[in-house]
Amino acid sequence: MRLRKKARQPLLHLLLIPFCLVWSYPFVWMLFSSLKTNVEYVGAGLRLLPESFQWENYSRAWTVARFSDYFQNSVVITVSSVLIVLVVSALAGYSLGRGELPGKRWILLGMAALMFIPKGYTIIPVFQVIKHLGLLNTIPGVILAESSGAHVIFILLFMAFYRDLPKELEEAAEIDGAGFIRTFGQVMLPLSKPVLTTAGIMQFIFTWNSFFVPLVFTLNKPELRTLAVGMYSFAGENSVDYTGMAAGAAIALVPVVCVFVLFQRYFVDGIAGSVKG
Amino acid sequence: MSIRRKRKIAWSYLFLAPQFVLLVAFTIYPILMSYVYSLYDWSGIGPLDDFVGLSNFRAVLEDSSFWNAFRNNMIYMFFLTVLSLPTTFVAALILNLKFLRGRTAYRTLLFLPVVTTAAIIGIVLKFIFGNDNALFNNVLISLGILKEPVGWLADPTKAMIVLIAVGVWKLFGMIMIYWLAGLQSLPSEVFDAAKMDGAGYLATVRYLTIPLLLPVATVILLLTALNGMHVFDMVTTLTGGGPYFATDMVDLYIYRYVFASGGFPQMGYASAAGIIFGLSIFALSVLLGGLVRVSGGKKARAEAGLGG
Amino acid sequence: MNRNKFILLPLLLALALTIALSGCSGSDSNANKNGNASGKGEAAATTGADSGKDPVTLEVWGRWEEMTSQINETISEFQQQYPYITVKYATVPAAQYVAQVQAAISGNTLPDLFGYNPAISTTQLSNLGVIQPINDVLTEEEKAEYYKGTWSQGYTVVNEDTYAFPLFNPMRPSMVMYYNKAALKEAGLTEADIPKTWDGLYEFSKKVKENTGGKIYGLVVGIKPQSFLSGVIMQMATAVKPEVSPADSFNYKTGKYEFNSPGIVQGLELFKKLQDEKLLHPNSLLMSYREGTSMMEAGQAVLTMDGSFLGSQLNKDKLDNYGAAPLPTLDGKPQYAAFQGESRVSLYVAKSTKHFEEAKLFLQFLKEHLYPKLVRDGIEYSPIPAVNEATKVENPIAEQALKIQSETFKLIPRPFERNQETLKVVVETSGKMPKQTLSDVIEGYLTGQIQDVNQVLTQLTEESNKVFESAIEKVRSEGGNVSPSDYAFEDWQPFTPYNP
Repeated sequence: MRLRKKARQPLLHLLLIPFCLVWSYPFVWMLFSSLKTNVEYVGAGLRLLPESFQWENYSRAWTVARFSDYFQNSVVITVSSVLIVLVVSALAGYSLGRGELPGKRWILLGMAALMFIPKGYTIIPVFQVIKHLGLLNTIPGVILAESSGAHVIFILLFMAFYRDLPKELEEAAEIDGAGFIRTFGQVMLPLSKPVLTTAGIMQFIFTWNSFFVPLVFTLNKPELRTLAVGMYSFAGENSVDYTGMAAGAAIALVPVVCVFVLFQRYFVDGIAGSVKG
Repeated sequence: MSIRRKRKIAWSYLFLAPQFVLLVAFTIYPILMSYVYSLYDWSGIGPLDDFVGLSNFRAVLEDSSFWNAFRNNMIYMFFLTVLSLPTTFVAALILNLKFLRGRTAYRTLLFLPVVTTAAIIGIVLKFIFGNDNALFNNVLISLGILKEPVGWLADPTKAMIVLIAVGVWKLFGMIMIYWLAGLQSLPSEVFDAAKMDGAGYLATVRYLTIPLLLPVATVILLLTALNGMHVFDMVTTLTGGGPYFATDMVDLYIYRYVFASGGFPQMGYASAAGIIFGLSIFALSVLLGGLVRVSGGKKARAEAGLGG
Repeated sequence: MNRNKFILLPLLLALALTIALSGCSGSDSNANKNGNASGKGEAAATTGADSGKDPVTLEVWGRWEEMTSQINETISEFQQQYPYITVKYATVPAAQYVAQVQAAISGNTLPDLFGYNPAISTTQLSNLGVIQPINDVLTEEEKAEYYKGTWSQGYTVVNEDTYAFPLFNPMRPSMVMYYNKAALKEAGLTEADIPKTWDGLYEFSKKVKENTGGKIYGLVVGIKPQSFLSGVIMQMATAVKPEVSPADSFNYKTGKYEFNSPGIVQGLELFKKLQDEKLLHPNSLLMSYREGTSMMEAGQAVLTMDGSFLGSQLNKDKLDNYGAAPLPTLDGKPQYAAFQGESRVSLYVAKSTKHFEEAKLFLQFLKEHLYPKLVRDGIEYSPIPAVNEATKVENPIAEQALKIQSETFKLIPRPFERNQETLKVVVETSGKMPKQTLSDVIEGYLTGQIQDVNQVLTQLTEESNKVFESAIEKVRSEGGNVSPSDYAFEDWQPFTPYNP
């Protein structure tokens, strides 16, 4: 029996909307909890809305709990890491997509093999490497540790993009007397803005949400913590300041959610691309 | 070979250099060194001088706590995969319906948990589940499903259930996008032809969509399974591996030996555990990757073109 | 081209916003950035130089949050007396402290002064060469003012040199029971009903629950990580089998670990019974110790059990609503807390410090000015008996708790007094003990995951003894002169202070 065409739309919406509400309820609840007082929170039961908006929870998290420091660290580390990764992957992707590489097959095979090796247990040697570089307990050290990795997905994305650009562009640049670098810098790279954005957004979200690496590398210096690590320590130390923690969580999550909502097309395209590859 | 070509080759390799340097320093060298460390009894501080051969490996394999963590990883991964794949597939089908308005909005909303920080989600959800007075209990009681509050995180089975549910919730959007990408890469002529032949929606799905998607499905299976092996962030903040190691995972187990709170760390032992775990993940990937091969994954990839 | 602009604009906006926001993060963080640049006590802005001295910053790591305001008070007095010295004191949460110190040792970035932690012995630290002797901080006469046994090997002293500067009285902490008077009254009971035996505790909890219709529970104790319940049970267990030290479950008469001592097993069974009959507040299984005690404070349970330091942390405005009492034991028999002369709350001076003179001044200042404050606010007794007698404790609950504490502590045998080489064994066992601790077993037993607690405790005992014995073997094979008999004190009578 076929559903009447007209009924299909509203029926689906009727299904989807409550589902999505429940789906996103943890965030909603967290946001509203951050505006309650602690006493209110403990006795809240099901009540979502606070009596009055306690913005001072946010200022407490920002100053007393040092979320301002953590925020700054997260921004610095994430932005730097994104820049490094973009540069490294774009260069490599261009080389693989348009460069002349005898032995390219082996390089690609090696990259594919690397994709399967987990990062987890290499944290100890990475720690030692950073130590030998004298960058332990510094922001650059964390940035470096975060930017490490083979970035196979990004390189593949760049590689595919550059490869698919018409040869005429290259030829035209050659006629103008441009060498390898100029061709790349002035012609190809600007054209790859979509891939740059996609890779940039993906790396941004990945680094912003990173927990394990910053945890390990900021054990020694609480001032260097990122938001995720700071939140974890805050929860451990102030186990009874629930609304302060909710405010802190909001501070930590809102930026990445905003970035995502604004640029979601790119992010989704990137994910879709990775599964095809 | 012309000079131009030689120059081009030189530049090509030079462009690869930064990635290569990072790779050697932060991927290849660490992997090699972790093998070296695993052969020593080393605390990470002071010189590397206590060679013990394979005894670390033997100790890991004999440790029931390790197998406990390993088993938990397997359970988590299994249920994560089994629960996510069908549900995300259905969601993808729904969001692929051309006539549905507001698809992007739904997609964004469903995807939201994916981009949030796992560690922070863990803490927030610990509040929602973790207490007698917690939100989840209150909701269930008011709905009449429960009479008394349940200690969700105090019971080993329930804690694992919560963990799996949260894992599915968090990963849902991502897998749904994979399916969507797969669905959108299917050739529309086949579906048009089926429609003209009078095939209904469900029949189309059953006889056309699913078989055509099989290669993509196995890739998705592989990616989801691998995702379930590394859950450090969420587990650390949500359950801490508890209660009493009921949700302990290998990531946490290794972390305990590296950043020990009961004395000096045991880097060698931790490295050995990491290697054993890494090898089993590799074996799993090979196994599932074989499935991809078998279901014609290669052909499908060739058709889609390398890198979408 | 239009599309690019569309993207670029919000991106720039977002970037600008984040920079602006992080720019106006309080003045705190900017000062922090300046001070953190080197982390080794390099010069930083201060309130003005003192007769031509270069400004100096001392970085100190402590892990005792109970004394935060007292030490901050002392520090501001110190900085007034020595304007050219700035002290940056950081309280590191206990859970992170060991990892942080290890990372600092590894990366050679220790602060100027840092606190003792039982996981890394003083011997280990001096072996690694990261701490330096502080022999001339105190004169011999001054040292004699301290409690007997403060200057002991492996804790404050290694061989002939003093390394650690004590901050608290060494006989701490003992476990104490606290009660909420209002909740007690609501349950229709009086202070005379506060239980002294285990059966009494059981009956008490039942009555409380009945009389308040289940609204108030008899007992709440948070058991999540860093919980003190294991310490509580071990201390209560000494009334049953006192040979097993409540500090580490080591039987000093037989010279072996004994986690499965009858006292411990029965103590666990008591809690299990309370839990099964829903007399223990259900959130106990889900909460940390601090959340647990705050439930008692809020009156949701009458009793809680915690360290003696809780007294000073209760809400100051409501102090007369609380009381402290000794822990109940099996049949009311006495209990004790073990004292081996260790000074676990003490500060080291790092070898890498560039400001030893200033560190010295700081430590000497602490002796004069921090100790009295600790007693005054009931945080803890100071390491000097004379100071304790001369200062009045202004917090009545803390005073009660501290009194109970000083009555509970007894001197027990110390292997390192008999044979200094035993300290090498301590170093060797570091980090190798079973990862499963008594606290974990308690959690597993109360959540029902462990059925036969005796069997698990026996296993824990065997594993611990195995590590212990192989450590002795290892030390011997490297030429050390230790044997298991160094750990067995057959002539020890528990409860009598051990003085060979």
